[in-house]
Amino acid sequence: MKELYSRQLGFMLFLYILGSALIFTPESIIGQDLWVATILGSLVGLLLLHITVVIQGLYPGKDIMQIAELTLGKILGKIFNLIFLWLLLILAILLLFDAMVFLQIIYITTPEILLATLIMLASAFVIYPGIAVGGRLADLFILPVILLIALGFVTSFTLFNYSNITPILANIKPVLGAGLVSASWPFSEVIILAVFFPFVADFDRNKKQIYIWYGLASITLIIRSLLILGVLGYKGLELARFPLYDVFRLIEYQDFQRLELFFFLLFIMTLTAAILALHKVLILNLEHMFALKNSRSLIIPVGFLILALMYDSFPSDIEFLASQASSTIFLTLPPAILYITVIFIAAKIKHRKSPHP
Amino acid sequence: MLYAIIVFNLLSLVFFYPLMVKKAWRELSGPLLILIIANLYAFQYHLDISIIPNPGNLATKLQPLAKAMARFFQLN
Repeated sequence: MKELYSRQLGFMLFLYILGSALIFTPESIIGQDLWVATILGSLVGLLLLHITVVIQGLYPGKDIMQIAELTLGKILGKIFNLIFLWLLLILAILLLFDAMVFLQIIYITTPEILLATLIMLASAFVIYPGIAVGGRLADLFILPVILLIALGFVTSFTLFNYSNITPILANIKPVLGAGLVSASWPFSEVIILAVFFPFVADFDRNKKQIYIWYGLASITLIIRSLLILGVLGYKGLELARFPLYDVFRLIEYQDFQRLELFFFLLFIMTLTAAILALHKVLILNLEHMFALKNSRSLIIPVGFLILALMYDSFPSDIEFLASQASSTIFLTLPPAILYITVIFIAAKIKHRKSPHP
Repeated sequence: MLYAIIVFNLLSLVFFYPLMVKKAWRELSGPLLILIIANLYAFQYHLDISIIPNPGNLATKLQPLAKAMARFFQLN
């Protein structure tokens, strides 16, 4: 059962938060003060993460779905777990959609459906042996990801123009709005990793690692926001679909060309790690829902469900941008906050009545 | 999409086979339900029809709310 270490969970959290948010920059709708919006979003995420860790501390060894049923009762707990399932499905299809949009700019001639199938089958292959492989993969990914981020940030700072980030906080309302968007994607998504908490062997002793890696992910995204605003400027941000990728495209070094492709590995690693985590969490959720002894038979059908739902829900990038992208915040943020807050309140009340669950 | 439908269904059968041999119908029912739902959505996309609602429909319906939020927060 205890197959992970806090360190590995911290790495997974770091990679998951960077996921697709590193390249897409959801809060870039604001333009100016983008980095302040990222800070606000990260604070909301930190609060949700802390609530999740506190809940786990009250019910050690139980996962969040079990805690929901213990604290809210069987029926209400199941209803809330269905809300959680909905959240996971939405996040998974949005993430796969993001991955497809990004991969299409590199693999122009490869059929999109082939790429999506390969991603889901690769994900199935990795999660088949168990959650420990996910932890090992996070161990493997973390160093190259950090090195590439550091290299990318340092080299692009030569293009930074201070005048692009001023004036600061001229209008507070858009900052709050973009902060909400940032809280929705990626920061509130940290609650999904609560499913992995019971698998962590040293959770009680080393849970500060989770906060440390959350902090590092937040700092990375704040620097990213500062960087893209400083390099591309307000006008450039309006036109950019992948702002950080566009920043890397501007890097020049002697006669080398298309240096941004060097950083392609970075985006692929973070996207893959996030897809793997969501795929695994979905399987664990459904295993609990169906009360299965073994979840392996769910791996392929769940991968297929993510792929089919993604194509059916968001068949075109143009349509998505025109009429769906801005409303996805309502599909993810309210269920995430509702689910974790209600469980937290119920857990606190129940724990006060009987301190030993 | 047709190729994906074939590949995922065949692979699912490979995983379901040991459960079918053991006649573990209860263990099989959940994954089978997920596979059926996935097939329904895959065929809906492949045949370009819209019978079962999907999260994309909901996102489209919530667009006025998103516009109201953008107006309130003065977002672009």
